Amino acid sequence: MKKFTLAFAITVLVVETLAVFIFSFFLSENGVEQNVEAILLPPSFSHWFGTDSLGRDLFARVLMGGQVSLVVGLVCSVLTFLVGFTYGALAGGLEGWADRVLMRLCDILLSIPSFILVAVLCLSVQVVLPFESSYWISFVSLCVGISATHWMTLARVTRGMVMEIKRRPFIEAAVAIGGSPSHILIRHIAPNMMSTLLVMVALQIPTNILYESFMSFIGLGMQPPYTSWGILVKEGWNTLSSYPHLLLYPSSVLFLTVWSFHVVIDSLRPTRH
Amino acid sequence: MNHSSWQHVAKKLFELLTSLGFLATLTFFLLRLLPGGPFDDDAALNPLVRERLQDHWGTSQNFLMQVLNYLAALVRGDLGISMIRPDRTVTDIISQGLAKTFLLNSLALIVVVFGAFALATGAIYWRGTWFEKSVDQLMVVLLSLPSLFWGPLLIYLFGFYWDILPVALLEGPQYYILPVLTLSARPIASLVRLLKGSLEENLAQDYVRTAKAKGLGAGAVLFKHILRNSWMPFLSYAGPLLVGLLSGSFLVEMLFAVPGLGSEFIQALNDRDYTVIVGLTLFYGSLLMTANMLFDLLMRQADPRLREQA
Repeated sequence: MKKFTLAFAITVLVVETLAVFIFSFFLSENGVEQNVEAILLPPSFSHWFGTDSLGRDLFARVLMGGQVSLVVGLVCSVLTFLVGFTYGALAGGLEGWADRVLMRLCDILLSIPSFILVAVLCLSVQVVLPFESSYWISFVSLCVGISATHWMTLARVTRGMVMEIKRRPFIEAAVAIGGSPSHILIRHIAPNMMSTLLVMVALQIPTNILYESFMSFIGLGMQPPYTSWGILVKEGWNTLSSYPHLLLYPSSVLFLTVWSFHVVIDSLRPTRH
Repeated sequence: MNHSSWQHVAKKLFELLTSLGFLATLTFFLLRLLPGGPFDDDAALNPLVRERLQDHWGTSQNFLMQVLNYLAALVRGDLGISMIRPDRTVTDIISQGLAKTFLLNSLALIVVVFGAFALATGAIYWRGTWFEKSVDQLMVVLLSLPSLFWGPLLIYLFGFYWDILPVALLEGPQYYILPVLTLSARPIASLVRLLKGSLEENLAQDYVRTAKAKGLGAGAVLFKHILRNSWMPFLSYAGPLLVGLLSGSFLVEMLFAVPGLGSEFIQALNDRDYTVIVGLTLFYGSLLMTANMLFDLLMRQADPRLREQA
């Protein structure tokens, strides 16, 4: 049962990635082109997920929206990792009052609901960015908003592990033969904690995807005519009572993706038993 | 409570105050440094009128003065007036929305805590059976259940398709069922995982073997011995649990049209209503920081080992 679930989850992720990043280019016309003769059609063989209020094919739009959602998920985890790792390594390496100040800041940020942090930061970044296109403004502000607010747990774990590992004898040896702090951190300390950190970073991907959809849903993320899973859910939300397929298909895809990520990452964790 | 305990309380209080001061300054700067003000959209505004408006709201002074004025007002408990709807003060907005948000989140908290304890102890009691396996699988599903999928699905099924439950506005007891179900799905999953891990750890301890050796049944060992020792991780998780619930509550309030703090916050974000955004951020921050401090003190009272460590 477990193996079957895992195989299913991996298949979902692989097929989805291929569809979103390769297959969608063949369909993009159906997702953009408006067709007044085929509006709000229920799912059928020619329109797998039905069509929206402008006659655009929902299946094609879900694939197109996936590009934004998946890329935001991935980019934000990488950024989160970079910020959290540097911050935690700095705190763990310096110790003393610097460590206390850095960790206090971490605690303060952790005690504010992350929704508030992401929203306020997205809003701030959106207004400051100098880009012309609203696509890039939304995209960058989402990335900054999400990754600037989710590095705290990773920083804490990194700090703890750096403190623990740097007291081991092999680090002493590396210091004795004259290794610089950054060299020791990257070549000697980091490899010893990567497995734990990578699982944390991977777990961040589904969270980021969810945050992208939240922000787009409340109107702070992507803006129409550009699309993402959050935008699609928002468009479906407005017509939920009469045309539930517009909401249920995109949000099921969102759910299936997040679930598959969780199943796959869970299997990477060292088992306790 | 001895001398060192009071010292610890004083230290925690000091930390709380500095954190709050920092949070107040930070949110203030973040929002005020932005270009684009609340009066920019009124294109037809006479320059003199605009100047008067800015004088009135204090936005024409320099930053330092604005910050100092703001902090001084905060100390008096004055969070200012909504910039978009000037007939309401931020304190009014908070006091009007708080009741619904509080009730919704407390109900969800009760569901989460009782549900999680029941599921986790059940899974441990029936270890290795289909029950434990299905709890494990169910928790992965709940953990990855986006409220954007779960909420609308519940609304559609119960509100429109079967038409048996109301879906908006929280006007009576039955109105709370769907929002609470939506809100508690993810937190319950993380709490079950945490509790199960803690129960499993305790299961391998020597005292459990002793308890079994003296002839206690599996149920007695679990409820009388293990469960009591598994409380601590729950206390340390109470802070993050509360943050998680309140964070999820924004979206749930929006989906179910709850007139609470979360809806007010989202409204304020869309309106760029600075004073409301800053006021609500501060309110949530101070609420959760105070709660965290209390949980920390509670844990020290409950576990003497923590007191010796410090």
